Amino acid sequence: MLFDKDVILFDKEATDNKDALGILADSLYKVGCVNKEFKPAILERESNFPTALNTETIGVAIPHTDADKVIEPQIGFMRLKNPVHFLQMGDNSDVQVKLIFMLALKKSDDQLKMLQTLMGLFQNKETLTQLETINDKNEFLKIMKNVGIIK
Amino acid sequence: MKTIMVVCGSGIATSTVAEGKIRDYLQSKGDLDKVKTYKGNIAQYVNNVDDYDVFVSTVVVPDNIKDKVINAVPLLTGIGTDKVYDQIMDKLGFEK
Repeated sequence: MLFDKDVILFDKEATDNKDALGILADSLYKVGCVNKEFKPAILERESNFPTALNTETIGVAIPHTDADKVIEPQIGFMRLKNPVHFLQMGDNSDVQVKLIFMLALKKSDDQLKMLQTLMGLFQNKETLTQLETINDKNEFLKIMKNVGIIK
Repeated sequence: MKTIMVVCGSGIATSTVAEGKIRDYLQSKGDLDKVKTYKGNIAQYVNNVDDYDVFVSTVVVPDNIKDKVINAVPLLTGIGTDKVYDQIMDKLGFEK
């Protein structure tokens, strides 16, 4: 399932968004969920089509790339110690990103519900606050279960 | 039958979410059976904007088509969704 490889990272330090994306992409590669081309593809796509979103409280980003770089569907999570600068999807405005959900997904319609749920989470201030304060993976997984992203 | 194209960078993630939201909205208005929705990536459809009644994007589009494209990012953040649905209904010529 989507978080079973434990790519759940708290309070990582990153110098900029490329550094942050690299850390997360490397982690997904290490657990075998993506191939070697995933990381450069993620970086390229982010520069062409930014993926950050300003929520009402904090900035989040959902970097992703083409399905052919994905071996096994997975979501990597990273909370940054200090927010880093990204551009917002759709209008290139500035976003200080604190939470990153890196999507390694295969093309499939059954992911629609999960993705909608994930976007719904960004509209839930209470859950976002929890994600800012928790400190272990089990708490993270519990939240993902509570909101319905995983079963 | 009216047509809506929803594009993002990859044609997989955010376009899927935006398409789902638009379909849910049209369903709630009783208009879903009058519309066919498609999704794809911007690179593939950037020259086909005029082929659809409504063209919606979650990514920045080139300036020359900017005026014809509806920005779907509010459907992802939940901030300003009504305006997006209004724009879509206007283009479809449906009552809001």
